[in-house]
Amino acid sequence: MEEDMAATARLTAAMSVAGAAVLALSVPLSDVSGIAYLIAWAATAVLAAGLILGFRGAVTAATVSLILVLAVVSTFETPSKIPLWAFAGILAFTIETASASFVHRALVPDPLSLIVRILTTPVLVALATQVLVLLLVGAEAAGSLVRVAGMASVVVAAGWVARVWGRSVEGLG
Amino acid sequence: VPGASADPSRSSHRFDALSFESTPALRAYVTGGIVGLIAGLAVGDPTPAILGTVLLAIGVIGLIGGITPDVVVAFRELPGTVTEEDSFRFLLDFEARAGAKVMHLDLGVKGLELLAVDGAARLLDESTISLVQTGHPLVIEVEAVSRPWGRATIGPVTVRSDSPMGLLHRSQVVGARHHISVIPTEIQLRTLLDPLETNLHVGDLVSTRRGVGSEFADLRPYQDGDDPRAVNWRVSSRAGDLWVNERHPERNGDIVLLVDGQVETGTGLETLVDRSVRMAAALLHAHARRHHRLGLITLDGLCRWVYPGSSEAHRRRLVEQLMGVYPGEVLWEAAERAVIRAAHRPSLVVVLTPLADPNMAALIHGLRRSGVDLSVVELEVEAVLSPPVGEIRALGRRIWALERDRLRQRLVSEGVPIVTWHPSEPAGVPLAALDQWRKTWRRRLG
Repeated sequence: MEEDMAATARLTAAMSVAGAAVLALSVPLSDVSGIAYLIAWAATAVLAAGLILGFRGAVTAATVSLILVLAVVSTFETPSKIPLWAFAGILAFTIETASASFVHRALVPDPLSLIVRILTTPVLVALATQVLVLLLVGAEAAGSLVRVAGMASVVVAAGWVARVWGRSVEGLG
Repeated sequence: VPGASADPSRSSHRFDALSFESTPALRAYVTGGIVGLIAGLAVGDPTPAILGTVLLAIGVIGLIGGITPDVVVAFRELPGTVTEEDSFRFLLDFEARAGAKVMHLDLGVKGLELLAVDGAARLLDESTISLVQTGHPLVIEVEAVSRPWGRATIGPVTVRSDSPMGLLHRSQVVGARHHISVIPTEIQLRTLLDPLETNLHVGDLVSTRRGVGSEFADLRPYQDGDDPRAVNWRVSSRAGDLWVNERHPERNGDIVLLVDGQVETGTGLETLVDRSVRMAAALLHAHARRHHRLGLITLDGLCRWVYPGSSEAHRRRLVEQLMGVYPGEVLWEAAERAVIRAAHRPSLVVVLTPLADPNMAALIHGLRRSGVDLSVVELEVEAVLSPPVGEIRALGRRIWALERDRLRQRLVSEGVPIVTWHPSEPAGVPLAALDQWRKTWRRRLG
């Protein structure tokens, strides 16, 4: 069983580093993007080292670095190679797999819940990001269709948060 | 007692601790979200702020869903004693009113291994099960197997669950620790040592005294008050006077086992303790069947003793103490006084010792001088030790062997029955040799 646990931890760690590498590769290559490129690969290296050495803070460090990379890239005229929703989804995937790698070094993995969690959260993050982008674009374009879609998304998101909150309060009672 | 319910009074330390642990993902979402918002403000672009908002929202939702109510876990039908490598079943009551659907229960087993679970649960490893809680009470049947003899424990149960998004681990320690005595596999002993003196309780031993019994002892002239049924009519008709039969009553005896667990750990001598305990368990079991009163003295890290007794609870106490023996060294000043008090006449004291400590030989010598009936099973040490490396060590080993031999010869010269038990021999061999020794010695004494 320990070998299985170690295998799960190794697999999720490799997936996490792969996700970070994809994000680093998404940084546009231009004359001014050298610093972003460097930070992105440094973040990948930090994440890999943290996963190997068992340093949990590496996940946070890599996340912060990649967000800073996004901030730097957003100021360039050259657009990123992947859309923002994809960047967000891959970042969430990187975080989830790295976290799962640490968690399953000590705990026995439940394969089904592990796979569901690794896949669900990135999809949620990507969807939420795209909704916010559409809201932003809608606010800029003042298009009524986009506004309606944006408002509906907000209502759905608020309803979901209220449901989770209600369940936790009910559980406490 | 196989099949008996666990006595709640034998449970110790009720636990009820709740703790939360954030995952690296939660910290990454929250920190990344804040950094994204600040970076968006700094660069004047909404892109990082959008991502930051989403990450922060995920982190907050993960925190909210992690708060779940208490769970109730209890064991039922736990056996008090099991034989090693035997499987047994018990029930686990589980109730959680709400909260996470999937929960991991680490049953906190030591000296046991979970084999299978029935019901809504799934076995994850030798100590952990996973279940999907439905909001209704669950009764889970668990099959476990006991490992080598000793004191096994089960509980408290650590219930682990994740928040709906898996960002927060919730861990609650509930229930009590239950002790289970795992006794060695029974060894069949064909020969048992009988004490020289008996006590006043009915048993299997033929007493040397005269009284009501079935074993013929002697003839004597009839006296007033004698039972007419005791008249030996054949002898009386020849003698012309009334003669009666005298008989030996059947009585039980007191057996005290002295288990010496004083060996240095890490030297391979721990196997001697294992053999001593197995032999002692077999002796306890065999003598209990013959209705003897049994006592036990164990010398390991502590000197513990139980005075002779014969009730069921008393035997359970003996087994529990015996299963708690571990290699260690005792304070001799206190141990000697305790042993002299616990091992007194008319008990037969059976000593199981590797005779590795001169203090042990001195203790046996002291018991002998105080008139205690004793027999010594010396566990062969040389066979379990690795060969010495180098001349100095070989010389030291030889000196040590000579010293032990001198102690043995001294005890033999004092009339102490002592037999060396080799690892390759079954447990009955030293007992048969001791029995032979004692009978020969008794004949010699007349």
